[in-house]
Amino acid sequence: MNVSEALIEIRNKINDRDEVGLANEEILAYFNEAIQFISQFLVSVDSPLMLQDLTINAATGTLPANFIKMAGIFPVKITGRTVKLLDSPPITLRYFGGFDRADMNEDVPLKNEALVRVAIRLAAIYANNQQELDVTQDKALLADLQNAILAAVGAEPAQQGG
Amino acid sequence: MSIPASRILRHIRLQINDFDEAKVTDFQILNFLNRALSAISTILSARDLDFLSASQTYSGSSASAGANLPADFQAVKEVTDGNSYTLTPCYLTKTPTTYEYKVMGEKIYCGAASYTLFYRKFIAPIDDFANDNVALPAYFLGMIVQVTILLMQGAETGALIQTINNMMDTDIPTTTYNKKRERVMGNAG
Repeated sequence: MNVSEALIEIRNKINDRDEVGLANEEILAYFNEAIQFISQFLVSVDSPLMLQDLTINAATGTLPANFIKMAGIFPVKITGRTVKLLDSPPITLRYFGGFDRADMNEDVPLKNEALVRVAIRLAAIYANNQQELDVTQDKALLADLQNAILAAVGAEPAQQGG
Repeated sequence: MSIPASRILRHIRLQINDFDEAKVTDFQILNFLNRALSAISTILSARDLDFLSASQTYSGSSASAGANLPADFQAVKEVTDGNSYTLTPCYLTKTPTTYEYKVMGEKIYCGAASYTLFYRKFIAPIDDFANDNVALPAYFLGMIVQVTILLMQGAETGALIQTINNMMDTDIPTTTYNKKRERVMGNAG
């Protein structure tokens, strides 16, 4: 789905179809906030959807900008954004990377349609909250929302250990 | 008679529900697996089971220079010469004659023209999952997987040894030629 289409849906949800309440840039900011929330939530439950590979062919490498955390322990030493290999290269690291930012006229950077629906609902909650409308009900929806994210990616609820 | 390391990896990943490699890396599993193999190997050698026996044949005398022991050497069981006669160990300070041998450091010294070392090996650690095999009979698969997972869950050494011993008592056939022979010799002596 295109980002501008998503913004129209958010406007529908917050009853601001004529752009009298919020500017597009503001809604886009809420939409990005929603995407970041989904990113972090999926990483916190170790969702494979967020996994990315990074092959390092030299003794040291640089972590990508969307790096959040390693998937398990690798024989590497991380200092800031520099990663130093303890064994000889090459090595393929697996890490959790966040979704990119959404930009007008581009596709929504979420990887499946179900997650886009969740992001739209969440952005609408943020927007209503900003306008100081009553979001009590929406807050109560947050737990449901998290379950909705899990359901959207077909994952099980977070469990300890493993 | 060995288990491909890749098969062990698959069983472990199935058990911890992590085929996506999202929670635990192969690097971690490899380390825990090697620790498990080391623990199993230690307990196995105390029981001196038949499949821990191995042999290596040397040609040429090594009375003064010595010859390298096998990489997985743990203890001498027997040394025979080219005619299958059993050689006797000699004092550490002595240069072995044609019917003697000694083990010093990482080398074996033997006066016979050619000789075979029968020894107890230990289960060598593995380096990579793709190509390596674990030198244990196939029926050890379940035990290796269980012990590795126990280690990953932070089992304490005492409890771990207890578990391995229990598993061995129930899972592993213990009647060995060595035990039979030792019992006979013990009764005779």
